[in-house]
Amino acid sequence: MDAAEPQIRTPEFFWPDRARLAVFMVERAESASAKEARRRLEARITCLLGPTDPLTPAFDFSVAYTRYRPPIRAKCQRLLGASHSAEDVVQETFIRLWKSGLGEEADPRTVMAWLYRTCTRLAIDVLRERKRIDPREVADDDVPCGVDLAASTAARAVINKLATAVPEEELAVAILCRVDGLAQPEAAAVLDVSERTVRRMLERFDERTESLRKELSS
Amino acid sequence: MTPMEQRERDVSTFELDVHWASGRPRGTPLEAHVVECERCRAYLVGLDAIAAAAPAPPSALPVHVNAEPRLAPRASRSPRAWALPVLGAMALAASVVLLVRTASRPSNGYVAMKGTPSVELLIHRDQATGVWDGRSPVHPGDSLALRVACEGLHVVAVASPGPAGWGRLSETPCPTSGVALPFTLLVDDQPGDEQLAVVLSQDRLDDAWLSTAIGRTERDGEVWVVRLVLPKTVPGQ
Repeated sequence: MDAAEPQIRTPEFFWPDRARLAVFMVERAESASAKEARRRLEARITCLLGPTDPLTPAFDFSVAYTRYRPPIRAKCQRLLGASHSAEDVVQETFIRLWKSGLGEEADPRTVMAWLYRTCTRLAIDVLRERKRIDPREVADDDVPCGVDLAASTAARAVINKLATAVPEEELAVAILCRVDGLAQPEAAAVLDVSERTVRRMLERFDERTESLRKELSS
Repeated sequence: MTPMEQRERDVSTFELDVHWASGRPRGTPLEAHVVECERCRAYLVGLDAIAAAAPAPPSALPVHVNAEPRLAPRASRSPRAWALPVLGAMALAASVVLLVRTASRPSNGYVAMKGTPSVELLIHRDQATGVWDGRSPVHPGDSLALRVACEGLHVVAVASPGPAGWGRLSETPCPTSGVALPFTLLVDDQPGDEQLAVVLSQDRLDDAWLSTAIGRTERDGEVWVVRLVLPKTVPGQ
């Protein structure tokens, strides 16, 4: 366990083992000493708990976490399933939110857009690393009426299969518009690109989808 | 109108997520839509369920008290009640509490102003959350959370023993009474008891002072230490 790399694996902030307690250590970093691994994780915990000086009052990040975590977790599960990877993406997204200071932003639309953009990109990284998501892990039900279930399923299959081949921005547009059911103006606002760009990328993605469909049917 | 254009007139996850995060303001067109739309309603229920499944800090509440068995009884100890929040529909159910309470120290003349500090250990196991009874063993896979009542102290540190002595795992300002510290621990499958120390203090303690205070289980107007030793049952051992 000495060289273990502790990782926060759940939204409830696990911390590392010092004496066999606390123990969600799943990945090993052979190059990192236990002390260094612990220091890094404690830094992350400090980050989640409060400012560098824990006695200095600051905005209550737990409020932002409570408010925004459920939608972001649902979004990650839509794409990655109920996996540890989904939880990791949620955690990393909120660590970045804390670092950004945007959690203090009063406008939920602004914060949500930032969270959508960030966790979408982190999820893409996971998809590219994992290469493939077991479709059985992904729940199709309980999505708003703006999500076309058939299109969402098809899009996930393509994203899953072509994650490493499709440019990141195109994947992000496809995830937002096809999997999450965002309208093109919404996706453009979230990604901070023009609607024209979103439309163009969706067209490309649809072409890929069609090609893949033909390929599979033949 | 293409199917895509038609779909874009419907409600996206983003729109509903913002609505949910805003507290679902009433009287808005979107809320009116939700009332009529089964899928959107189900989606919001799903978000509620995710929020409910998280270890939400309880609002306040008092109920039951169990003295920590490893602490020596004190003549002036009086039961202090704590209430377990009803985590309601969330199925975060039952509780097992360890409530450590002790009396103020008569020897140094300290008089607690708001009562004595206490610590409550919550155990989440098999979809249910309970308060530790001070005796029952924990199991690998259990999640542990802490709730403290600082009673006038300002800083709460949590430490665990290591090869070089007690090490600080977390340090935060004291939360509102009844609010859980914002983290949980997961019990591993290694044999042996688990140990934790919760140190409540007026000011931040440096490492040396922290170790000393824990070693002496200090309890006065400046520092209040609670040590938890949790027996552990490991299957197959």
